[in-house]
Amino acid sequence: MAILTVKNLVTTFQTDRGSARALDGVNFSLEKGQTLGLVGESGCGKSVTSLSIMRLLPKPSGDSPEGEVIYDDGTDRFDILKEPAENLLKIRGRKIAMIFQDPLTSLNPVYTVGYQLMETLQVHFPKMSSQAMFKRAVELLTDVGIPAPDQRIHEYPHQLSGGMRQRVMIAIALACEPDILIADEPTTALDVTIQAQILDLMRTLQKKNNMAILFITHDLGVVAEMCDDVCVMYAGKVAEHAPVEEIFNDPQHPYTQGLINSIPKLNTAQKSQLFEIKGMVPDLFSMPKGCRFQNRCPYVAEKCGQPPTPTQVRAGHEVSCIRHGEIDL
Amino acid sequence: MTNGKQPLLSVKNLQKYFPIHGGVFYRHVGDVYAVDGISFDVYQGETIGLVGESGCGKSTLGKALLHLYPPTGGSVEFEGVDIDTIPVKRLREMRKEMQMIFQDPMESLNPRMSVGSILEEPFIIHKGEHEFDTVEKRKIEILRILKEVGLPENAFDRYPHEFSGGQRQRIGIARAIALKPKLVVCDEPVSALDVSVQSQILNLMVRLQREMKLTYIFIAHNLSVVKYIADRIYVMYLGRVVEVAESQSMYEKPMHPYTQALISAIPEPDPTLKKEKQVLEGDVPSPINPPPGCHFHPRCPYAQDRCKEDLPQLRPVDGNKNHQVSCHFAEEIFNQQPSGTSEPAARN
Ligand SMILES: Nc1ncnc2c1ncn2[C@@H]1O[C@H](COP(=O)(O)OP(=O)(O)OP(=O)(O)O)[C@@H](O)[C@H]1O
Ligand SMILES: Nc1ncnc2c1ncn2[C@@H]1O[C@H](COP(=O)(O)OP(=O)(O)OP(=O)(O)O)[C@@H](O)[C@H]1O
Ligand SMILES: [Mg+2]
Ligand SMILES: [Mg+2]
Repeated sequence: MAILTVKNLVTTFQTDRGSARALDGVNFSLEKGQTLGLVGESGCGKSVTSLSIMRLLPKPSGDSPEGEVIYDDGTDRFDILKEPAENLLKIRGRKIAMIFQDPLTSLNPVYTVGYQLMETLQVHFPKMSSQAMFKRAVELLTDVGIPAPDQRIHEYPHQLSGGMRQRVMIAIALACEPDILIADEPTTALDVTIQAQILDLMRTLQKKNNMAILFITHDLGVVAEMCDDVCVMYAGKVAEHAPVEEIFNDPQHPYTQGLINSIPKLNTAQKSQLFEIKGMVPDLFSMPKGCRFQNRCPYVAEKCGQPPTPTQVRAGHEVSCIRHGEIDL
Repeated sequence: MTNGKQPLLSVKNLQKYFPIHGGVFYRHVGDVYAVDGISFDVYQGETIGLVGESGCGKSTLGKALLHLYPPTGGSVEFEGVDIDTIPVKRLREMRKEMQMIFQDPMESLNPRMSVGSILEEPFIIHKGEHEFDTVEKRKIEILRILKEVGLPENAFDRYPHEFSGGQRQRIGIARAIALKPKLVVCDEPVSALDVSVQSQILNLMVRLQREMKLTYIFIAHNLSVVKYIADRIYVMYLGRVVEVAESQSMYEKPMHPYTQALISAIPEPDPTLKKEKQVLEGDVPSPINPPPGCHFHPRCPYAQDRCKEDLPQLRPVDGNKNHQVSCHFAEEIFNQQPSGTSEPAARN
């Protein structure tokens, strides 16, 4: 069952150069207990998508997004974009929690780790005694594998290593056992041994709580390891959405194919020419009519000047390429 | 291969400690051992890869090499000259030969300066040390450099925030190569980029290296990237080098348990492969109070009593001076490795 359905999400920013449509009709759904990967070239709108879902876009430049973001856990069903602002505090944390790209900027430097954890608990469990909250906070730090949690709880973010700060962020995100976790590049700054620990932890907690995860990353190795499905974005639109095996072994969009071919491999000859997708993403202010990938696509044809519509390749696999079926990737 | 030649850069027992102050009187209460006794030589045209955990001292080392941080101990010689002892003016001239590319170009590019002024700045700082002595000559040269790194001419009048991550990294590279340096310290130049942009930037860096005979110190935490670009790799842990080897040798025969864990933990871009990973327990110890003995012992699955007391030094493996490891039990551990965890052949 889809716990989150994003329908035709459009997000616009007002800038000095005019209004920029950062998201231009994004569609996807996230199933309970599953992990959906969100990948795509830097600037394609991954973070804007997550911030739009959380209603955390900067004001006033980020207009409130258009479209629908339906939360549905079987008993509760509502459109997050239409919820009054006072309900959002309850939704964030309890139903949907987020881990931000940079833990140092999203943890507050002037409060201890314990204070920040308990503050989150306080919002959602106002009746909890402070003793119980402290106990729960220590428990959470233990869960995320922080050594000596009863000491660490009194420390400030700058006293922790990058890996520990990221785990504290995860502890805060998980404090209220959310149904959905949005993780924006949660392990990018960490070395692979710490990354492996954190991915392990996320999987364990996912199993325990049947939590759904929206996982944003540019590491396709992590995608292969963590995700059930993958949504490939390009310039504010979804190019392809498919089960993870099909994205890697049977990509249908020329951009997805280019992305997969760009993955560095351990057996690539040293300093040899790497595969690259030539050219660059068009500017948000001068997007072409029709397919947004056309200026870089090796299969471009005249009809690519018309906007593509999503086509079903098979159940669970959709691609937005007007030439789908007539090109052999 | 490098016998007889003078190294471009020669680093001897380099140390950089950051003092920690605390208490009511703000007394010196300890030190962060960010770089703790590192030595190596780099020859012109070579690429040295530096990998290791977040916080192990890679950026500090990179900055100490360029004397952006004065070292606490040890020395850095550039073309045979100790940069710690030369007069400030000479050091400034020498900076022209040594440049840096940063991980986050947004942090290092002034948002209020146009790309043209950002690229003109090094020419102005080093006035009199190059032939571009007029605005016109500089503009022609800057347009040439923009083309060289794959940016459009109209970038000249635009500002950093108008560019994507990959393009900003090109601006950072353009600035670093503007004065035709000999050495470029690249601090995680592609870590923030997605794979398709990453290939573009790596192709560019390899081409520039060939054309300009550049020497790179390449810092990264992605091992497949380092293996691709580096001739030799240094694996760091808590301010010290734990293993050095030529790239191929490092992957075929990782000798240090930390290197083995690093290689085994690389996520495989293949969803059908669910490999058995060696997940290390525990966290990186603090560089403020590094544990006695081998710094890695609290996380090492093979640690023995000796490792808790006796700090291992780098030593050649099988008499091979090009492959060195600092682990008391490297050979025994390597021989008892379950096959598959460290064999690249099984992974490709
Ligand atoms: N506050 C803002 N004002 C104007 N434009 C913005 C703002 N935030 C984001 N954008 C634009 O929206 C687009 C999408 O940005 P977003 O941060 O979602 O990219 P991303 O896919 O997360 O990239 P990355 O992989 O680099 O994190 C970009 O073109 C960006 O410049
Ligand atoms: N200016 C400073 N003052 C005090 N401590 C510092 C300073 N710069 C770095 N450190 C400390 O020195 C250690 C090494 O930091 P450094 O930035 O070199 O690590 P790194 O290997 O580059 O990590 P990353 O992969 O996260 O960039 C860390 O413990 C860090 O907290
Ligand atoms: Mg982002
Ligand atoms: Mg660094």
